[in-house]
Amino acid sequence: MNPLPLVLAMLARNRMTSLLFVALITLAVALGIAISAQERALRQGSARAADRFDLVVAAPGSPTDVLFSVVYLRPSAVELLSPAVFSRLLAEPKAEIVAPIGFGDNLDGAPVVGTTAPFALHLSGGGLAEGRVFERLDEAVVGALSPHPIGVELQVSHGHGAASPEDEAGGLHGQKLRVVGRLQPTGTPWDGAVVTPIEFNWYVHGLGTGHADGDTHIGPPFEAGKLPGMPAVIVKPQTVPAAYGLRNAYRTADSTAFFPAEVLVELYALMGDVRRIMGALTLATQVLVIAAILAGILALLDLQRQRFAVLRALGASRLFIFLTVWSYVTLLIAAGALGGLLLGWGVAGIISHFLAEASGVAMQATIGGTEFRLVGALLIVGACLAAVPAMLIYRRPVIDALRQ
Amino acid sequence: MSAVTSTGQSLAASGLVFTYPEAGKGRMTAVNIAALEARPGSVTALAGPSGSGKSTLLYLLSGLMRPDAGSIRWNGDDLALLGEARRDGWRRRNAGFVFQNFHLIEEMSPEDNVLVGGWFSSWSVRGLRRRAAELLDRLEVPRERTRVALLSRGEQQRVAIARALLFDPPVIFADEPTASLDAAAGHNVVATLRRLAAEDGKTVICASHDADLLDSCDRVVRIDHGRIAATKVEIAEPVS
Repeated sequence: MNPLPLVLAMLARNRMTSLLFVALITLAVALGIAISAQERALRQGSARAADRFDLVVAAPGSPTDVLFSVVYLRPSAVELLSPAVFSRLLAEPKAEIVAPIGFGDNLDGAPVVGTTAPFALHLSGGGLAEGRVFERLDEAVVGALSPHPIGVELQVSHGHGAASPEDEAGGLHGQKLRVVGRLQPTGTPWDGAVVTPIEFNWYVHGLGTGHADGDTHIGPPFEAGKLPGMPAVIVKPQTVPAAYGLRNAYRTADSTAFFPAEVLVELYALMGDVRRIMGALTLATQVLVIAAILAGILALLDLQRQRFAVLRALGASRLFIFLTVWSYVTLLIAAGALGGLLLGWGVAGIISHFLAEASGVAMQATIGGTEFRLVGALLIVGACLAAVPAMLIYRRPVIDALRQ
Repeated sequence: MSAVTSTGQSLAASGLVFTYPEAGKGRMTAVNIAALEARPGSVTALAGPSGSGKSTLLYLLSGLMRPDAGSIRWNGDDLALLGEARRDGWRRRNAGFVFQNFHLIEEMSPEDNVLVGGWFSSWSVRGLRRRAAELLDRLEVPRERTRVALLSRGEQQRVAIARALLFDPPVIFADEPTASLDAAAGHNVVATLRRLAAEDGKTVICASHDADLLDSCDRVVRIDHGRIAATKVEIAEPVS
């Protein structure tokens, strides 16, 4: 028993309608796949971006705001951490790296971030892609995707807009930067940033350099009395227990300390809720689309009931008719599901690309177990639902159709 | 109930009753046939006006419908006692069907249309291709056409006859086989059916009111209100 030739004949006869059915299923499935794949890409990309920011210490306030400022370089007004807390952190024996972070300037829209050379190296995975790390106040390294070559002199502007006439005239306080190195790709917005010594950031904002007058070295040790407040400090603890110890020690009235993952988990929980709602809506859409398509197929096949009646007259069993209709419907659903998987993957890839460009967070949409399970479940449900028109056609009285 | 009449490969019905429900009137009798026999090598026509019951009788004789009473004997089996699946099997093995409107699958070639029965039989379609080609050649159907819809109506009906003959069944049922053809094409189909009976020994049973076809039949059974009104038996001259 081989219903395939008849199924192919049905596809040929109803090719436009079949294509329409497949397209509808494809779109419904693609919606679900794109949401699922995109949400995962966003989650994985944002988690990867925060990997090297072990422990964040900031002034009491919203950890989310601090995280978005420090890791994703999204401008937001955050309280400044007291220099005294920073000094205490510098004295912590279990902290391998203690790096203040400073913002506030930009270069053609790219953020200029101040920090320490050890943190710049840590962010770059231990070594730079080219050149060397900054050693002077007027030197900088650029992110992996920055267009500025090594050796070029840069003039930064204050704030997040274009350079002001004052900046154009000679740079803020007449200060320029020379690019001396390029970071390895980090998959974070830091890839587009200009990373300077923290002293530069303080200096151009009129806050001194954190060192005694005439002291031109950069990085620790700092002069406690000369330190300004800072948005956040990144701490790389020596061990995992040390990380927890430091986090607890700096959750005080003067400071807050958190692992980026803690904040992300809360965000993911929120995203997860949204994803579940979207997923439910998508599933409902898919079920409605398939139900509508089954109704359409039933109407379509009802118009061809005489063909099935003739086959019965020629000796075809009811099982053959059932298998033919079931195969036809299942084939449409399978083609739509497969098309939806590919289209959803493609759409998620395109959205990821634009999101990565807009946010600087590297993300790649992939098709994983969730998407395959979604398509698999749809195929199983579809194959079961395909039995409905198959059963209805199978039960149609032969003689009534023959007499038409 | 009448006694059973069965003679070898003859298809014989006796005491055949088929009723159907009609609102407010109880069950109406559509067919009430005391005895009818269609013999091998002959063409039997079921004639009568529209609504006389001739098509219903044809469907009963082919096992598409099950009578309320009576028997339909074929080679020792009583079709009336068989369940639907076994009647399907009986048709696959023993019967070919030709319809007024051919009911071919337009998207397919003539050869693939002839092979339709192979899809739901235990035969290998590959093995049946040669047979299909021979049948189309014998019935003078151009095989090179890619779609059966490109054939003339007469050629399409000959494809339908070839389809009915794929498994060389002993019985051919034809429901108004010439009704939608012009005179020449109808004459050709009649000649083909006559040859199948005369040369191949088929038992051909037609429901028709086509005078040309009725004139060519060995036996014409006139049906009126589901009953046999008259039977004309003659050995028809071969149709050229």
